Amino acid sequence: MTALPRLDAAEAAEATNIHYEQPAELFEAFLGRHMKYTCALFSGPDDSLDDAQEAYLRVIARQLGLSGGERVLDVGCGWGSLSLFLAGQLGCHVVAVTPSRVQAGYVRRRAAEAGTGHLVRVETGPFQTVAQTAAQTAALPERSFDAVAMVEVIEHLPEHRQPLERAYRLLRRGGRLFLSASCYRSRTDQEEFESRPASLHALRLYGFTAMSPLSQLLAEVEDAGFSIAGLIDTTAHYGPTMDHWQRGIERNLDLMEAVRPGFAGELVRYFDTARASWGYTAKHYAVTAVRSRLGHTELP
Amino acid sequence: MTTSNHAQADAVDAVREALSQQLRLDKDQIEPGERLDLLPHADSVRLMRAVSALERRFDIELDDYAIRKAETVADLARLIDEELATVGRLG
Repeated sequence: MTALPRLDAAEAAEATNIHYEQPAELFEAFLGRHMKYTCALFSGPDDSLDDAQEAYLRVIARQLGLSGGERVLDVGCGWGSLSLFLAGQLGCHVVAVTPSRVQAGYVRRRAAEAGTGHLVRVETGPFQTVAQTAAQTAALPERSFDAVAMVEVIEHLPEHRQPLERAYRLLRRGGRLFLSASCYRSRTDQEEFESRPASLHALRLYGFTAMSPLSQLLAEVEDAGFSIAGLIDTTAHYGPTMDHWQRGIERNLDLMEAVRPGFAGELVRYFDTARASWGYTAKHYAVTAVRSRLGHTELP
Repeated sequence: MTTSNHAQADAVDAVREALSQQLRLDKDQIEPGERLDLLPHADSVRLMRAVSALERRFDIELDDYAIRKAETVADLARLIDEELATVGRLG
């Protein structure tokens, strides 16, 4: 039925490091000031990429109910956009997790430069197993977080149940989960398209990536124990995000070619596929969920 | 708000109280070692209502899987005590 490889958590993390352990300067060439390698939110065509990325970061903070000083777990922190924003703007205490040693070092350095090194702790490894040493277990005690963010990371996890259950256990009662992901538009589209050449190109580019339909993700979030609290459709914003990325690549092509010849071309090929898919075979959603039997108690 | 220093006896007493109300039994008829599903008038809805009343009384949410595994009055009381201890430890 599918040509997707069966990997365990460690193998998938090692596989994605093919992409995410490349030098930061490759990504600085097109991701903008926040280094946010995920969907932005545009209020209109004149918004800059940096403004649109900041708009999305504010939405995450709002969906997570953050007002300042909370403890937040940022699973799959990437180049640190959310962790650095929450520490810098809201004084949140953040534990950021990434399997990429390059990203971990980068986030630590950026936090130190921003004067928020004391607020941002970075753990390196696959989220499923990252707290196996005593020092890391102390960083990730159960029921100690007010919020968990999983921003476009679930696509890189070969199995969802265990990481979602872990997120649930790490949250305090009433704590919130923000989970955004690129999704197949439906189960039918998944069956039809996940073995096509363009999907396999994405798989090679990112080492491991596998989209699910939203219906599957919602079922998995429910199975982990959460109450679903909200759903946002951001599909319309990913095409413009990728347009900005591509223009950045075109402006800095010489630099990118010097660092890693051919990488820019592979990215642009992927962006072309993805832009063709939004709304047709793929969607982009953000789900908010809460560790609470009765969910949100305020009026809708 | 309840604190974590409830002794086991208090949780047992609270479970007997909740069960007596939901199952319309005399509290003294309910022994700690008795199986929940074999109590007179017991069915899954009434037992769940008793659990719900206990969660509200202590302001806790018990683990769903652990609730289903609880066989006796004492099992349920122990779950409550453990949860109260955890909540107290986390502050």
